[in-house]
Amino acid sequence: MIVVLDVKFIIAFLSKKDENHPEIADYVRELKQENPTIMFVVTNFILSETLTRLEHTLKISKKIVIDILESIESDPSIKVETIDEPTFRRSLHFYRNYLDKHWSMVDFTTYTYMKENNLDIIATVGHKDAIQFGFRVIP
Amino acid sequence: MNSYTNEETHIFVEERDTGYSTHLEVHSVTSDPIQSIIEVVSDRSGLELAFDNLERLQRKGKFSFKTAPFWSRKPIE
Repeated sequence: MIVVLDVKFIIAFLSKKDENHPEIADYVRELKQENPTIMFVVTNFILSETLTRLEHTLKISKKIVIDILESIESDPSIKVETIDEPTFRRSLHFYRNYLDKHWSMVDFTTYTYMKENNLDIIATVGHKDAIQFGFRVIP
Repeated sequence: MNSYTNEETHIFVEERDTGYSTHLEVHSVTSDPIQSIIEVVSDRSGLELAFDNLERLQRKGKFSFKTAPFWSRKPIE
């Protein structure tokens, strides 16, 4: 089982102040218990936005943000994937053409990456409409 | 004094002001540096000082440490 993580899911797991924290923390614990070999994927765009929000929105000290980064990099169940130039260009194309969607450019990079790599499960908070892309949305 | 020799152990570091805490896996420690860390953590006032001391001790080659895996983290308060 491979699950792609989005920014709000990661923040909800990390921050007790997040209203979704209890649900997400319990969910992750159960998910890992039920799927011991589960792998999580974080794109470089998701990682960048997460670090930025931690430091500049949640006002977490840079030292602790770096500690969080290192814990992501050191976790054997998490893989950080780089979105390359062609995928980025295709994401821009979708971003320009889906005028009725309020998804961010980062969301489009994630969805495009998932489509191109046959990944269909995304862990997200507040992006239930990713189901319109054909993805299974958890929790 | 507690004795930790050539075995993996964990230490918990907590920042009193924010309640932020994490734990570090410490490898191949000897009794002196780990005692120093315990004193630093129990005595001190901020997480950054603890990290600074850990890094200083690591640079001296006393032991190595790494951050705990992401899903094992305690949440940020």
